[in-house]
Amino acid sequence: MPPPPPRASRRHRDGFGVDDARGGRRASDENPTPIGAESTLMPPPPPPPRSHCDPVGWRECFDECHDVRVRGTNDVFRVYVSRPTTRDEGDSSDSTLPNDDDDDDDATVPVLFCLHGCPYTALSFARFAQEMKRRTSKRARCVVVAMDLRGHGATKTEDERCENDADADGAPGAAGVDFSAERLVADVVAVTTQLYGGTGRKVVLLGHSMGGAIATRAAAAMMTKAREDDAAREDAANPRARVVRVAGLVVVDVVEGTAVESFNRAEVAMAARPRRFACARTAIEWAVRAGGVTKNVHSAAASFPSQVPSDEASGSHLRWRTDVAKTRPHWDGWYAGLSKLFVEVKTPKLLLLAGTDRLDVDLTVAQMQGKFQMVVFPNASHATHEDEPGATSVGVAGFIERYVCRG
Amino acid sequence: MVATLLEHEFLPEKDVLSLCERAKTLLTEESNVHAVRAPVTVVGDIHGQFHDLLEMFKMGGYAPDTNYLFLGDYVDRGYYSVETVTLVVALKVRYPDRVTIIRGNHESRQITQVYGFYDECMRKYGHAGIWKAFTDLFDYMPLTAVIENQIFCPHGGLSPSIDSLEDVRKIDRFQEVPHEGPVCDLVWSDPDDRTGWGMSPRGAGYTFGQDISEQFNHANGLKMIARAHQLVMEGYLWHHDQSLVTIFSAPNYCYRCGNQASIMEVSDDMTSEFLQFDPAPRRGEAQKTGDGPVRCPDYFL
Repeated sequence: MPPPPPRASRRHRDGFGVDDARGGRRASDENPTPIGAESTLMPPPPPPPRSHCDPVGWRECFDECHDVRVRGTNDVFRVYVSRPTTRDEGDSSDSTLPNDDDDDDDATVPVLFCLHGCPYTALSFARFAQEMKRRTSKRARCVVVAMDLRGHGATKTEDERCENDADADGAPGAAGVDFSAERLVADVVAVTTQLYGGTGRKVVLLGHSMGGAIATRAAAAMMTKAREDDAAREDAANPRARVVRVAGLVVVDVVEGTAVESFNRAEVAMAARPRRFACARTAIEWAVRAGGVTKNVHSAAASFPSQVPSDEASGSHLRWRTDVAKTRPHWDGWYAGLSKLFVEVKTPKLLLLAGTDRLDVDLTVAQMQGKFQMVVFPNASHATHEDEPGATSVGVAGFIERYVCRG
Repeated sequence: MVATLLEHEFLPEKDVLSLCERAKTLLTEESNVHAVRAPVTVVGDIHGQFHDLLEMFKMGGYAPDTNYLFLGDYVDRGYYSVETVTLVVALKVRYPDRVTIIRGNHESRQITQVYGFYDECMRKYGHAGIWKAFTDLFDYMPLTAVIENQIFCPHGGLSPSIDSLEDVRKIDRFQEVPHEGPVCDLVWSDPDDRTGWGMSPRGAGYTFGQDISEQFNHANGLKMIARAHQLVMEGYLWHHDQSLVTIFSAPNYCYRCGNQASIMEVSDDMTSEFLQFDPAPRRGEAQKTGDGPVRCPDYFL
């Protein structure tokens, strides 16, 4: 296979490739090229024969991976990007052409910005992103971006470094990672503003579980901020500081009432998980069979290894990236008032649920008054987009086509 | 048969199948805009809340002493869709001139597979035959009714592809509810405070404003539109300066919403009056007769 075309010179009309971030270290093959350095597209590895439980790297599902440092901070957020295929790619037999260099970069192509649950990571959307690329029609083309939230995946933030240093010293007192709804929302606003602020891109926020709560709160915050920006007009000199336009909100299987009811069971389930895994294959097998992470082994292979990276200290075991117990104080803050807020946010809304029984009173009333679109996947479990990435992508693409592209 | 059903007795499968066949023969003959005479009592969404339907009959009177117009959404969400739709269809077959049934957005193969009716048929009859018989019948239900040429009654609302009752009459309705177009709009659309046509947040149908309702009524010599489809906390709600009313007849919808239900009695002189009602006492039978276990997620983070 001939070498792929260099990508270093390419500048998207979004924030990728513009901002300096030095957070990316090449610790493993899966690490991205730090933004600002020469960036080349690695050739996709030839598909080796493998059992379903072998881990799958992000490159199989996403096109790009970036570490985004929020300006003025030491917080570096990992994002994965999947760009839509060009219109004629299906007909093109010459796969060496840099055929993604034109209209996907068009600012009219909306961005679907995906936020994972806890303790999932951005790679929870790996198979979904693949399906979006494969299935979205010309009328529903979009760029899929998935972000590792604070304390999750490959994101590295200052508060976590302090916590780790304190742990290493055995010193008590480090506040630890701030998993509060306010902090996570501020992160999402900062990263989306840095990437797409002032570009006029339509951004649809999608969130699963905890990420659904954050997406809803972020949508509300960004719409308020957008009104303030419009009123103040003080960012005219620096349009990129303007918050992005929220064009839609998609929430995957989280409802305030049922979430709050499940806290006790969630604590039990989380405490009962194995603390470490011998290898990625056993981890993926556990995720599908006993762990209830997803029923879909193809999703687990792409997503679960990022939840249990190899332990740098021992090197021999895989341990949980995110300590769910440390997030417990914030659960109430994630979900309190969520249903009312979801109903109130003035943007097109899609609720994807794994079962109709999961609606609480506020959402049952609102749904029966026709205030949002709902799609139910009766055969899926909690991680609907991992269990049924194809069906989920059809629902989301239809929503984007109807309310974002046409609307 | 009606007496049996009112006692909440189960019909044997063969009786349900023959009921559906007889209903199909009847409904085939009815217009897309079925003409209804006053007096008549108009009933909104029921959604499988069979005990509340019985409560409603106690209050509103039994057929044939009271004429009924049911606006659709007999099935899904509640735990007794089979009993509810069987009773409503049996009433239609027994008193075809005194009972009118039209189609709601839940009278559809696709929707019933997600919102409960399919699962209930499987649970109660052990196979999908009953579901198939009913969903085939749904294709024959009229899309709308009109009371004394004055009150237009769709399940949902108006459609930008429909200007007149004649437009509705011309539709070929004998099919599954499509994803768009006039049939879809009639069962999915909602009135809105904003004027003109809007995209419905539901993902199907449209929203329409007061100007649209008034124009449609004026052009067709109608007094008003009476429709169902949306939960309203008092059981009924006027919109568009009384050119349209919503009627919702499932009290405490989904056994959780705390809303009142209502029916609309239209008298000989075409005046309308609303009777509100609360949920029927459940007497513990819900637990016995198959309120399925609520599926709970393992965790919700």
